[in-house]
Amino acid sequence: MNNLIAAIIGFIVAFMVLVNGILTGYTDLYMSSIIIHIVGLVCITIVIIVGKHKIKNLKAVPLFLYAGGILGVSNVVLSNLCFTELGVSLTLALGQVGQFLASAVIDHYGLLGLKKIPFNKKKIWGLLIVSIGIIIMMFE
Amino acid sequence: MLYIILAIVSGLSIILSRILNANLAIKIGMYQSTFMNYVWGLLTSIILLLFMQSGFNVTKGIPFWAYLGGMMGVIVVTLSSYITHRISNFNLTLLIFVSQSVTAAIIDFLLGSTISTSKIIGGVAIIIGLTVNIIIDHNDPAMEKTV
Repeated sequence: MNNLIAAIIGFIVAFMVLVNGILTGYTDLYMSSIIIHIVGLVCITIVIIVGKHKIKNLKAVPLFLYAGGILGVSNVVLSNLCFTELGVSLTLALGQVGQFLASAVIDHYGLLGLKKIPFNKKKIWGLLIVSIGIIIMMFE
Repeated sequence: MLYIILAIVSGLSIILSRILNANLAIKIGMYQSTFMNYVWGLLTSIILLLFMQSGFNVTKGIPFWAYLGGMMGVIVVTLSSYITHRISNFNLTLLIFVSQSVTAAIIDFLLGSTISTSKIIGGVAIIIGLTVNIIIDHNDPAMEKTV
């Protein structure tokens, strides 16, 4: 079930990237980011009102936990900076490398409150095959 | 070199963003966490627009569905907050990547472009490597509760 949810996230992300890209074509990077966040804010506000979810404890939470939204935007800006210098394929491939490295390190040491899952050395071969696949895919 | 590091950091920021939102969700609730993600994301976007002085570049005639990305983002952020503490973070990253790539390839195909041989070969390699590791995970006691 958990694996299915992960796959559903990837499925939606593929459509989201396409649709957001088209919106950016009609506007520009920064304007589209604002529009995307306004639409998102309206949607989640409706969910909260309809579901009668209470917003509380906001001040009891360490401030850095709110950085998620800022990091989400910074990702868009960073990758866009790189597109012009590195091209789309290399930027996306390197971004993917960054994602894999970060999540492997975080799993291995159990950082940021996540469950500690030491890296199983047997998986190195599978990862090698996956990496070769990604390289073939990104650079045709 | 600077741009290579920046591109890798952009990947890192996706992972950090996902985990911080998931940790926030534990403290204030899943939907509330998504709400705060969009509040801060909107503020950051507005500051960026003012800082870059790029102005209001909006062409007329945007189709209705082009606005739906924001809605999809809400689903993605909320589901990610839910799943992050229930699955190995590395497997989550890998599964999202594979599912996204396959879906994107199918969309490309349906929109009329052909799928290149390299994409098919690369895709098959990724699926083989994934399968090998999923089998290893199943035999690994440390993964019992996470996969």
